[in-house]
Amino acid sequence: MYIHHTYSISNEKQNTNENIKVYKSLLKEISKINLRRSSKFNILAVLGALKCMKEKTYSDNMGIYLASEYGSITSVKNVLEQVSQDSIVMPFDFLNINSNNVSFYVSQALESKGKNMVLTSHDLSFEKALELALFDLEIDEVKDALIGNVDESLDGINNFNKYISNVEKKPSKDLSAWIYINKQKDDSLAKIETFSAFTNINELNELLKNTSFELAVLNQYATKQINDLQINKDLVFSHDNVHGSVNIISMLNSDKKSFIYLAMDINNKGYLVKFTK
Amino acid sequence: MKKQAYIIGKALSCTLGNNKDTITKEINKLNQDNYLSFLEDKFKEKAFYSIPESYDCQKDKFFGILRNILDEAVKDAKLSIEDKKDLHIFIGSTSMGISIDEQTNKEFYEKKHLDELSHIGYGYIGTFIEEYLQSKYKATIFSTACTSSTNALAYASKLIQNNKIKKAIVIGVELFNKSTFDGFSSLMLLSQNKVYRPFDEKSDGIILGEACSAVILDSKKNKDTDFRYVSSSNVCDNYSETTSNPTGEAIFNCMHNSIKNAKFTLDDIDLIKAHATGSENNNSSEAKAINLLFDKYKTSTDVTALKPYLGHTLGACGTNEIVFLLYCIDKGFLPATLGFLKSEQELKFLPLEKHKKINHSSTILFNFVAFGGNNSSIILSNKS
Repeated sequence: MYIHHTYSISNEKQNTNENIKVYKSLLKEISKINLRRSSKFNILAVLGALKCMKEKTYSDNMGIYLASEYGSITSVKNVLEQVSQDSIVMPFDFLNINSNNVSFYVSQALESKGKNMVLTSHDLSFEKALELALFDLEIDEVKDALIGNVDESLDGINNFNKYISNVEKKPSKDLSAWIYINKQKDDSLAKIETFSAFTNINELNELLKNTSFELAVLNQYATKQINDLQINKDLVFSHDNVHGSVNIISMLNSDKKSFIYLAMDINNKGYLVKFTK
Repeated sequence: MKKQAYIIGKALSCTLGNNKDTITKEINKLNQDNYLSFLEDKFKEKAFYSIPESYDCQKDKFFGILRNILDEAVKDAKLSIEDKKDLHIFIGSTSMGISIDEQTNKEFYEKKHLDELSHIGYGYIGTFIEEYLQSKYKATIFSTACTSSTNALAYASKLIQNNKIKKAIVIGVELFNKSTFDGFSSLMLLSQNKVYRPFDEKSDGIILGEACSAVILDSKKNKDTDFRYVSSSNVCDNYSETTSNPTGEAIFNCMHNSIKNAKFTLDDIDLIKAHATGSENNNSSEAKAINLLFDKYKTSTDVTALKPYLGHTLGACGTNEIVFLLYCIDKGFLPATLGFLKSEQELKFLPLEKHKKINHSSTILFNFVAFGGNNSSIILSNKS
């Protein structure tokens, strides 16, 4: 499978925790889609997907796979507060907590006719979405795939680190990162050589033994476990982002010809992905 | 060569009970004549199909029901401790654990709790199940509204068919929460007459319910009557966030594709389990889709709807209604569509008026429709 297009909002905006109005105005510049009453989560998703696919062609059967760790958390919190205080739940607030509306809007904005899915997998949501997209491509269920990683900054929630896995207590940023893949080699940015799941560190070390690479990016749990990994630490690319999608996109921009992305969860389950250029 | 994906274990906890014998006994007691008194009794407090057990708090309820379902499904599939570790986990839900957050948030405002939320995101549900089953694998949670657990089941089955995984457990969970209940109310989608009447001229909306279910899939069957996954289809249409294309075309395409993918014709389908939420749009668009399907194949088959027994259990309705119907088939009958008397529009089918006796084998097309234009159909069969 080959990566053709990518987009990450963090590459475009320095301060990646903006008011919804900023994203709405950016969206207005590129699309006529009406998301007037929609959440920041939805706006971020549509903006990122449209930027990724701007002036690009894609098939009638493109699958859209949207991964999110927190879903529409700001809207959820609003509705929870309405319920707690016995206020009426407003229709648009309710629709904004219906999390697959986000992929509906992405699909509508792209006028896509293929399937769209919203997926979560604790600390490995993007990786899981990529796994299912690769499977659908392999069995020809879809012709091409757009995989998104979307989450709002949690700055609006008191002591948010209490609720999430943020091992190094990194800042919480708005996220909308997208990767478009298909089976065509021509004009691709990189090839996904292998996508391997592991269930413990021993299995991972076996995989690492048989994988050559010039550069590696590790997610937060892999970074924490680095002393147990059979990996050349000099090849590890340092980064300040907890999101796998953003790190993969950063690696694609490097001058290296082969690189790996290693993501694991708190129980040492995870994925090793190898890319070549 | 493709493998088969068999349903070797199942479990369901719903308003009618939490095991096959109790649930099917309750279904068998019900008919068109006593349906209204059944609902009257059930809806004394509110028009909602509740699980009868009581719990001290929402957290106990959520994880208590989930644990029971996991245990029952594992027991039904006769899995060993080692087998459990090999289960890949797929979960489908609309409201996930929001009932727990509601209680935490309320207690926070009442100054009984220090935290305003219990969690952020719902990945923890997957981690809980991984740890409870001691599964080696990472859980996947599908959030595609009312098709969530159907899509979860379709993916798990296809991964087994294509030899990517060997065993899977697919879980659907939807429990009462005020956010969803009030949200549907604010959209004016809930029935005012408090009688579920799928496809009927007097149908006036949805009645929500709570239930939790699981199915265990394996590439090898346990017994000859085990159902296998035959095919599925997922068609997303961009017509509207909350309503289906009123022509019924997208729903028709979804059902038609699943029949095509199975290399079947409609003659091979013994029953269509309609989504039939009771909303005006779903009644009308799904009825048109079934009419189109019968026109296309120049034949017809039986149709039924199950929400009058369970309520609309949203993202979990896929596995809930599948387990419910497979229980009935195990007991040798197809359940009637309670509440249907006379259609508002021209139907080329009549939903089953009475429970229909069958032998224990059948091929069923299950149809589901969700917010966000997400339509899913799945065909299961235990015919050779």
